[in-house]
Amino acid sequence: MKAVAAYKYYDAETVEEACAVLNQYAGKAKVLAGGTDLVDWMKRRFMPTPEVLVNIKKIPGLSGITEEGGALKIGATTTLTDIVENSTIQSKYKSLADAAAKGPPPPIRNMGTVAGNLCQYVRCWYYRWPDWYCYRKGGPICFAPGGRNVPHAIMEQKVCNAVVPSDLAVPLAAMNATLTVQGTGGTREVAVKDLYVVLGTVLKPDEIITSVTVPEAPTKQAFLKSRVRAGVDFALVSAAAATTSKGTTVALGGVAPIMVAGTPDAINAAIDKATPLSENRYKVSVAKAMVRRVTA
Amino acid sequence: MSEEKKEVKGVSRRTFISGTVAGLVVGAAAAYGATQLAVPKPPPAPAKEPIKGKYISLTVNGKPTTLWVDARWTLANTLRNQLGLRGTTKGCDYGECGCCNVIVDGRAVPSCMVLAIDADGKTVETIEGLAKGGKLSPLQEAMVKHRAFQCGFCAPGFIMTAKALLDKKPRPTEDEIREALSGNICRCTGYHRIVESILIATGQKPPLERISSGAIP
Repeated sequence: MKAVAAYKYYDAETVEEACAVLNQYAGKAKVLAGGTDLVDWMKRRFMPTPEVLVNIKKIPGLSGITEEGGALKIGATTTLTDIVENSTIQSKYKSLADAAAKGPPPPIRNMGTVAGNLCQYVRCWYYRWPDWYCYRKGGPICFAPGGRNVPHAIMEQKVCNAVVPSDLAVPLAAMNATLTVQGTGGTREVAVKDLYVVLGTVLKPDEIITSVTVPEAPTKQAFLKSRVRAGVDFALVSAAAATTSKGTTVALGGVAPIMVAGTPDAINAAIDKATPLSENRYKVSVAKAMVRRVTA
Repeated sequence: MSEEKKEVKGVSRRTFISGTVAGLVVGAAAAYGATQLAVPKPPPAPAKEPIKGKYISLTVNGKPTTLWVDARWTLANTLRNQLGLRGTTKGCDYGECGCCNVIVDGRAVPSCMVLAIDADGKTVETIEGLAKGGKLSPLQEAMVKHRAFQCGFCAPGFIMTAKALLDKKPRPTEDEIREALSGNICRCTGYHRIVESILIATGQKPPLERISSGAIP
């Protein structure tokens, strides 16, 4: 194994316990669920190694898919394979199953969790390379606008041009899903489309996602993803649409550092106002075509 | 001089700013108090201390094993360095190539991404557990007979991933095999012979009939 600085390990048995440890090592502890992104992130050593890893996989009741009263509830440590193979999700929430199936290859799906997929670190090559001290690492500038920026953002660029890498966030945002987030201060609800903010998520250091709730099964839904190598790659652009009793919502992935979700007209207007960087003008037309195809 | 004059006249810039900040803080505190009905409890102290390593017990190829592992060790390193099972090869060490895939609790996972301390109490199957009594498994037999691999570095990962698929689904279609193996990288063969060998091992005819027709041995 690549040399990783020493860290300690904590097996949490309840959510409260996990939050207490995260609170005690404020900001220096990380939650370990699937580990497919976190272990990679630590081995590449472009960020300081956390002091403590809190394993939440052994907390009982944190994984599982239940459907009650028309709402779908997915536990935080449910693996992506469980989502792909679940018959309820296959029949009623097809776009979610599609997004999980079009995500990583099966061995990674066997480990990766839903909450981990939502909270994974961005795939920007400047962020992921130790030599580039970029804004997201605490440095002075973002290197993407003046460098190679094929997979970077075309809209909503504030200070960082890395895009949201999560595949599941796109259909979940289109289906108006909410996250139940628990911390030492109590429990709160966060909408998936509000989860991402500039340079990270709205989660505080002592908070963990306990479940994802989809309020209503959509009557019509679709998910599309474009990528370089089918089977393994992250999305260049992905789009999901879901029609519920409240109307149609379209969500775009791979175009912005935050979630872009709204009515089809609003999304089309946002794409028209996009500000692509030097090498990713192609994303504008891909995104437009995808919105047209998922809403068709 | 001029500054002193200003201060005498009225509110200085500094007092004005500090006053505004104080006002904001009071306002924020009032808003916080209004939304939070109950005063948040002080967080409970965790019951135990984080650990640097521990003794884990896991079943490797049907054999119960207990060993001490560091919190930093991955399952791939532990299998190779502590248990001497060097069949599990390490390619990229980042979970991208699939060379180190082993079966944990019936599912193929990249062992370089599993922390050994996290595998406590699990059942692990590696490539060494396939051959029983000096005889290769049917999957391995087919792979050897039809020359599925050239250098063989990726073979353990491919074979364990294929075994996990065959355990779940004894007669997979070609598409299902390609989907299951999509996380494995082979730089020699171009994958066709691997997929065809798995089809032959499950008693099916490969679509191109290159191997079964005898055109290519």
